[in-house]
Amino acid sequence: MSDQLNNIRAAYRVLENRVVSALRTQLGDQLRLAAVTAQALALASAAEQVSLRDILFESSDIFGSMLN
Amino acid sequence: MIPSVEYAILQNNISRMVDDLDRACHESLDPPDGPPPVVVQRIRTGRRGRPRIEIDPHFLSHALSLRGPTGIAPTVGVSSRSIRRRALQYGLVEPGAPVFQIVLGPDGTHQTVHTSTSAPISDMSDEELDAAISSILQIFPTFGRRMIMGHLRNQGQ
Repeated sequence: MSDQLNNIRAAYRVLENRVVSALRTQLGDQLRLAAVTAQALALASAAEQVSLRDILFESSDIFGSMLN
Repeated sequence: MIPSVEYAILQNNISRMVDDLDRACHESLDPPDGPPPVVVQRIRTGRRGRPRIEIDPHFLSHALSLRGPTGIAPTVGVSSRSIRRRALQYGLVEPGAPVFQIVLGPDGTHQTVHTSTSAPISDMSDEELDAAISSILQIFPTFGRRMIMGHLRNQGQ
């Protein structure tokens, strides 16, 4: 299991707590809610990049094994 | 590598988090304690016709100090005429001048006096208007009211 996957899982748990706290304490506070939204979108983007990179590496490995 | 199922759950959850956060932006941290005050009631009298619309006099008095019946009507959900009628009934506003009055003239005949709040549409006197209309009718005896009005307007009067 890669470190990146563990990092993403840990980041998700932290984000989950922050979102729950924000929804309970910062209703109507657009500035702080926007900050939490930005963190959520950043995690989604990071996970997407890792997923894409994995797919690329996997396909390149398959291509390399075919050449060999 | 991120398992595809876990990745789908992650994206779905983050999408729902963003939706909830967006919705929370428009919510208030201090919601009202009770229901909004009822200022308008439709009272059924059991008789024929539409139910009577009763407006809270205190609310109406305060609202009329801020804006007119046309401005209050959309907030209350009734027509501006209903606002005006209730204000008159509660004595909050003064009734307007009568449109016309029949007064007894010095020669003993009854005369109709019109009062208008708008500007006159012409500066012609009654005698001038009678003369103009009679001259039009001499030339065009079949003219009705609308044709006479059009002719006068064409003459610039």
